[in-house]
Order: sequence, then structure tokens, then C-alpha cells
Amino acid sequence: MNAIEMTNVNKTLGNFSMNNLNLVLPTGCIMGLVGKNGAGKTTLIKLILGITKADSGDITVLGCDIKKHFKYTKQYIGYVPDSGMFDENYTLIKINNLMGGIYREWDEGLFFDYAKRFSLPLDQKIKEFSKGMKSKLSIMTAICHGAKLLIMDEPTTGLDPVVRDEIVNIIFDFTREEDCSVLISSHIVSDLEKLCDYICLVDNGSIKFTEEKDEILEKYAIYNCPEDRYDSIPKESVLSVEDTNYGLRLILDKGKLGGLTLETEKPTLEDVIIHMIRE
Amino acid sequence: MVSINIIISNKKDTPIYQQMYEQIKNLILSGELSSGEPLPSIRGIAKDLKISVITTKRAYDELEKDGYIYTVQGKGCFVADKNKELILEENLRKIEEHMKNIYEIADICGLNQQEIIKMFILYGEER
Repeated sequence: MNAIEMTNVNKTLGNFSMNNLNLVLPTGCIMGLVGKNGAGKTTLIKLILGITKADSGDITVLGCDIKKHFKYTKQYIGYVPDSGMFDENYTLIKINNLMGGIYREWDEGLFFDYAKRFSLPLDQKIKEFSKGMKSKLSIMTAICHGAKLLIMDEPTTGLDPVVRDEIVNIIFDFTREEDCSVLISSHIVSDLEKLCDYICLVDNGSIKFTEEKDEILEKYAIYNCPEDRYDSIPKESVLSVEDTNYGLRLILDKGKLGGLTLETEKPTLEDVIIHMIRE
Repeated sequence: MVSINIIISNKKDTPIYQQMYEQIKNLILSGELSSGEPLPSIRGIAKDLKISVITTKRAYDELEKDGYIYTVQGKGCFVADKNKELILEENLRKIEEHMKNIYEIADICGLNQQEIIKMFILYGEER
């Protein structure tokens, strides 16, 4: 089964439109959404959650068509929005009571375990929390109501490296269970490089590609090229050229080198993504 | 559960699945993992090493395809009985690789086959 399936989805919002979206997230996998600001990542997430209704096409989440019985399925989706989701005057105790009333499978024990692990005070108002604490709270709340699918919109933006690493580890732990999947959007590509099984690039309202992360990294290479050697490299393999004044820095498609062996470096996901978006 | 050493580097040019394949294979060939021993689950090892589940599965699939491990549905993966032929094959391949290197170096400095053979016999006697 797939955690998320989108087939030929279209949506027009004013003068912005999302066209012909096709996306599959297999159960048990982590998918990262990347793309420029305004490319349509948040709209894509909202379509999957049913917050925004699609004009046409089908969306299935956790095996359920979101047009039917979606209320039931929503119990198993944990959504972490980019801004906090609770009233700033609430305390953890209040949130626990509230969520216990909303979700059938709310795990109170797990919630307080997490609070202890992240040293979040139980009787302090959320407005006194730091940004990192608020982020952790959102994620642990999503996990504690028995979610099988976590959908996160920029959960690590604006956080320090240590907190970001903690969040990456929470997500790793969450997906130790075979039936737990994650869709996460982020501008911090290095976080996605650590986490994801798949990368989906959204650009200008459409999905440019969805590919396995390691495959992307294996497909491309960086080559620091002396200028006089540039002519010997097959042009169809060159994706981008950067002139450093002391030679050229090329991103190459290894498959199109035609047997030529060069001393290349492995690119980071960021190198590849920046090139793809800039194109 | 067995505890084994596997070191994955993201910086190396070798694909991650291949690094994993080689290391587990070597652990099996060297006897550190003995036949019938259970391997860590795909999901467990992926999350512990912080690598993709798909990549890990690919490494395990390759190991299974080449006869080093086998899968019991619902129980996980185990080290297969050591196949003598397989080990011989693997070692022959390694020797061939070294021979290739020898010839490459010999070509560079213009040594012919006869001279190489002489050197090889001499080396064998002195060893």
C-alpha cells in the first residue's frame, strides 16, 4: 500500500495553478519536498490534507480516498504546520486534556515521556517557550495521537543545528515502525539529505521529479575542471558550469560521459537541487 | 541480535548500497558472521546508520541474489551456508584484479611477460 497517492490533480488559486500533480509515497518511507518559496509546496500539502479542495484528480491517503470517510483517516495523520498550532496561553497539561478528547488513540504516557525527554515544562504557557521547544511540541503531539503518516511543513526552519538534529532523530525513530511514513518540506536540504528516502522537487506549480535520494546522488558528480580540458568533456553530460576564476566547477551527469573517466567528487543534494531549480 | 561493524561514508564516491554490500560480504567471507546467524533487520540497520531504507534493501537484495544471505518470510535475513565455490570464485576474482594491476604497471615501464613471470617465480622462491 502507498501512504499517499495523487493522480492527475489540478488546482487553480487565482493566478497560481498547480497542474497535473502525480505523486506516490510508499508506506514506510520518508519523502522530502523541495522547491523555491511560492513553488507550491504548502499548497501541495494542503491538497493532501483536504484543507484545499482539488479541482480535478484523485488523492488517496493511507488507502482512503480523501473525498470519502476522510474524517476517520485523519485520526492517523499527524500534521505539523510551519507556525504553531496551539493557543499560546495553553500549557502542556491543557493540551494533553484537549487532545485526549479529540483523538481516540491519544497516548498520554508517550506524551509525558516525550515532554520529559525534551525537558518541556508541564505547567508553563506555550508563549514562554522557545522556537525549538514549540517545534518539538508540535511534532510530539502529532506522533502521540497514533499517527501513521506525519506531514510536516518546514519543521526545522529557524532552529539551531542541535535542535534540528534532535528533530531528525525523532523522525528516524518514528519511521522504525514499518507502517509509518513521513512527508516533510524544508529549505534546509542538508536535513533532507540525512533523512529522506525520496526527494520530490516542486517548481512553479508542478512536480519536476520524484526520485530516490541515493539515486540522485549517484547519478551526478562534481568535477573541478582546468579550463583547457573543458572541450574534451561531452557537452550533453554538463548540467552546470561555474567559473571560479581558477578553473571551472562542473556538475556532470555520470551516465552521459560516454566512458570518459574523470576524478570526480560526490555532490551534496544541495548542489544538485540548486542547479535544478536555477535552470 | 548480532553486533557487527559497518561503516558507511557519505563522502566516498562508492554508492552507499555497495559499501554496505561489500562490508557485509566481507564479514561473511571472513567468518565473523557465521552461517545461520541472523542479520539486523533492514529497517533497524537503516535507521541506526541513518541511511535510506531503499538503499539498505538494495544491499540486502544483492547479497541474497549472490547467495550470501537468505530471507525467511516474517523472520528476517540470515547468513547462508558458506558456499566453497563462491569463496573460491571471489578469491579468483581478487587475484585477477591484482594481475590486471601488475600488467598495467609493467606496460608503463616496458617489462614484457617473460620478465614478469621470472619475477613472479623468484618472488615465490624467496617468500
